[in-house]
Amino acid sequence: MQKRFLLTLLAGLLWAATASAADSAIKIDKAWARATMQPGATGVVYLILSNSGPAADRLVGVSSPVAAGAGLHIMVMEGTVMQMRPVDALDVKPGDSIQLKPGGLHIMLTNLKQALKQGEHIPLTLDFEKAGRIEVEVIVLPLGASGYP
Amino acid sequence: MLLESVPGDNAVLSAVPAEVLLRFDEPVTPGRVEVLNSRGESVTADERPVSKDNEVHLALPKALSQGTYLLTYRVTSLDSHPVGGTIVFSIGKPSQGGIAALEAKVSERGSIWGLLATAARLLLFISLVGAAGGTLFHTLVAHDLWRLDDPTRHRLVALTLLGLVAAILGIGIEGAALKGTRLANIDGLLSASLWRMGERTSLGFSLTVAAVALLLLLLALARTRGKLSLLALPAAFAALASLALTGHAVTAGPLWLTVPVLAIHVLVAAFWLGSLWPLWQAVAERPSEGALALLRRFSAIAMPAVLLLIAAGATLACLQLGRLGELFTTDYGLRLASKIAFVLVLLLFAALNRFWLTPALAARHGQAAHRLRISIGLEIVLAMAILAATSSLGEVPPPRALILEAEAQAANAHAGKGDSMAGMDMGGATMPASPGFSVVTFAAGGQGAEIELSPAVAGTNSITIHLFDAAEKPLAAQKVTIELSQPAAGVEPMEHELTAESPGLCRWANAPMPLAGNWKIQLLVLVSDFEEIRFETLAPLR
Repeated sequence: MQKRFLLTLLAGLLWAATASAADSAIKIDKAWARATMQPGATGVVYLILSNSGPAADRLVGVSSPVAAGAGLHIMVMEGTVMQMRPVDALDVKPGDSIQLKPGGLHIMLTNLKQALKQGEHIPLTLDFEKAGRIEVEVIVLPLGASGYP
Repeated sequence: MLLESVPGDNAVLSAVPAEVLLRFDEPVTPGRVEVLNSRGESVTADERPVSKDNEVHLALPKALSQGTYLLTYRVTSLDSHPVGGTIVFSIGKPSQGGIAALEAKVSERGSIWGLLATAARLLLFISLVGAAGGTLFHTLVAHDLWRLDDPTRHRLVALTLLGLVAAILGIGIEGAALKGTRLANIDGLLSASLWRMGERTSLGFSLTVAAVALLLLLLALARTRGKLSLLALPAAFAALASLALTGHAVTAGPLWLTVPVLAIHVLVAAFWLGSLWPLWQAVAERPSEGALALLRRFSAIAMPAVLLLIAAGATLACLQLGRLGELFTTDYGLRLASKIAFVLVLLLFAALNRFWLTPALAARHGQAAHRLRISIGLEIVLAMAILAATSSLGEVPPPRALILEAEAQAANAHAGKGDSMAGMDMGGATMPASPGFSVVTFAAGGQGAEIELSPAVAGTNSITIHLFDAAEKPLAAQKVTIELSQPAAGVEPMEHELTAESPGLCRWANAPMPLAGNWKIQLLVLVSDFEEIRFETLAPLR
């Protein structure tokens, strides 16, 4: 009896865990990267982050197996000078739809292990404070691309 | 564009470094690079900046006392635009006060030269339109370049001289802007090194070509009846083409496109605007047959030429702006928009002259000559306004340069050069260390705030805030109030009013945050009397 109870509990917990991951309020759309010429170069990823849930969440890390390093950055203006600054955390509040795009927020992939070739898909992991790790497929667009098709 | 400096901006160092380093995204010509103490005195007067590839090094004296220093620099990049900036760093302990005033004074010195450069450019444009454009008119329309009457010849010679002076002064102004020489420093302004520096830049090269061409034009015009008059037309062409050798427009796209398009734009514009004065005179002096023949010949050339001019101008504008929205949101765009507005009014007048007033003159209406004269006079006023707007474009970076440079900066900063950046290990990855903690948060209206805390450790923190609107343009605020609290530890909200250092940038150098843990940060941004934006976020302190 006790065994069955434990099994049910375990199944229930498992269900809850998968359900919470599947029902995550955080959604990632239109993830794309720009093609690069050679390995070792720096790649850049843009995407749209949205939060349809009732609670605020926060993006606290990014990583990808194709690059030695990855990080979130933002371009800001100081007078007439545009600067790039590293960002440790990005608030994703209920109802937010945040677009990472050229000239603003973006994800840099440093020391790429392979050149990003047009048309291929690369994996990217986004780490959220509450939603945990979310994997996304990033499509590689041509060298001169400026937005998702 | 500066990618990195060592020491970094607002750094506090424990010891005097051997040198300061500036790294740019492209090779630069260093102008003035010096370190000032908090009283504004140079401590590196004996040192010369050394440039190597994209880097500029300046040795520091060993015996620097404790306090705050300003590293100010002026360099020129490929597109001839002088780039300047100031890095503040401290040795030991920061000095108290006075730094902001000193920074303002240093940047003001640069803006005087920017103003003078605009004035010199305007004079050069007026000369090129009047003298070179006038030469084109007298060759193509009036067919009388070989037998000019004395008043006309004297006018052309005077305008050429004006341009020659403006071009030569322009070289000196560029050198002075680069060196950051004070206006009152006469010896410095006359020094050979200043002029050589101005001449070495791409703008200096373009101005030198213009000066030589104008000198030839002067010789040709001064003796129109001799063989030298053959020189006038090529000299006029060369003087106008010199403008296509430098500037933002040239670096906006591939050279095979921008240089010819800009040359055509300049050539046709000078012909069109340069014809106005002789036409105005002709209508006044010979209202019947002479003027009519001139007007008809002018209009036969001008119609297709102006279409070409507009096509060339539109091409350049598209390359510069990137997208139409920039026309109304950036400083450059607004200046360009005012130029376009003037051109549109000028086109209205041109159509009025072509389709109503010239036929009226042909039909010998009594008032026709008088009206035509007023209309061409107004066109001349508009032409001056267009030239003024054009010369002011050179002092502000075009939007595409801002975006491109920032992307170049992004790529370069990450090209694996971790050597001088303090690296931080993130799961085997080296990332440039942020000075403490930085967070980006958005308000309900889509406006964003990037908030940095340094060092993000319990104690006194420096808080830097960049505010931007939904289109990622700096958000100019009337008033920014910050509220810090730590409800969990019973720290009640502590309010502080921030002043904007530049649009969208606020700093609180010494925010008291005595406890570790999660701090709640609230920003109240008053954008107008009717609009207040609220940001809220959390920042963890160690």
